[in-house]
Amino acid sequence: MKLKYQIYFKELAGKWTGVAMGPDARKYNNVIILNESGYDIAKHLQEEISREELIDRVAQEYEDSREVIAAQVDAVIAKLQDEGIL
Amino acid sequence: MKGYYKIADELFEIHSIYDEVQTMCHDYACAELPEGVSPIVVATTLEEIREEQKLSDEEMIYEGLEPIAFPDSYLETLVVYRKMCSVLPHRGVILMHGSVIAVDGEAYMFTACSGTGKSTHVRLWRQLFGERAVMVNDDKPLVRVRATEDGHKEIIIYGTPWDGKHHLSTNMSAPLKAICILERGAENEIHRVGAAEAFPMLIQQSFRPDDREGFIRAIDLLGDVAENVGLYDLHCNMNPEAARVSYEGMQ
Repeated sequence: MKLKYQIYFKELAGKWTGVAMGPDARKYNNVIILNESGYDIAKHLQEEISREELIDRVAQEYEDSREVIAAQVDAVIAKLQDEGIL
Repeated sequence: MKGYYKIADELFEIHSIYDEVQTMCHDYACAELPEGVSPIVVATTLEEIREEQKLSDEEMIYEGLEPIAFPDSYLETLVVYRKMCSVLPHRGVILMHGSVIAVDGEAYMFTACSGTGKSTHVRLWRQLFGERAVMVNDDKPLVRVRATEDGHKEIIIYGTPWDGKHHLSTNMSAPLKAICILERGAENEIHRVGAAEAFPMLIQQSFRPDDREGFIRAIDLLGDVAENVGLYDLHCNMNPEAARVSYEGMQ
């Protein structure tokens, strides 16, 4: 899986706002808002990656249990899919 | 046709096919360029004018409206501004969509989705403040982020010739005191909002260049704007009282 568009994430006051870049902005004019851990998951989706690989990558950055990380990854994936950008 | 213009403290050399853009920018004309200064050169082609019509059609369809066939001379004014605003982020300047009025030398921007009533609200301000108020721009002002010597960021807003259907603007600049996100409401009510909360709306009401570097620079500048001006959410009706409530709420 991979984000459908090139998304630039900008951090302001602890929130990460994602915006589609360049010509992709005409296809996706909304913005996506994530907290820091959400961003730490979404940033890996700029390139093709499987769910298991994504959990592995995030596990290298966070000390939480794999179950907790898997749940967070699934929540972010669901949010991005709801937005239609994954 | 060719003309030199100083807009938002930047010099432009505009080459156009039609004279509409040159006429429109008349108040910003420079008789000649200062020695040793290289202007930003903007030129247009018929292909770019056709492309602008296509972009306009796409936007109208996206908003559920019937596309309008605009005259080429008008479309060229949009091509020129699009090109200018694609370069300007590299000089610390971005385009925002909003109606801007200055009162006692400080500027206030009202932004909202089209048709919400920005211009109507600002008209109430002009009625309330009379000669204390100056219309900076009613549609597409430019905003500069300037680093100060003490490490802060100063936000300056400029009038431009791209000033909406009523052509309300002044060739001037003013410090931007606040940005107000306007929504219609039965009662008049204003409250302060945080940068993160307001940022999505500010993004949607700003111009983002197509090229990656320009895009990132524009979003980063917009972040600086959000962090350095007062941000407010205003629900208002069309009564004169709305202007007093919004002004007092932003002091």
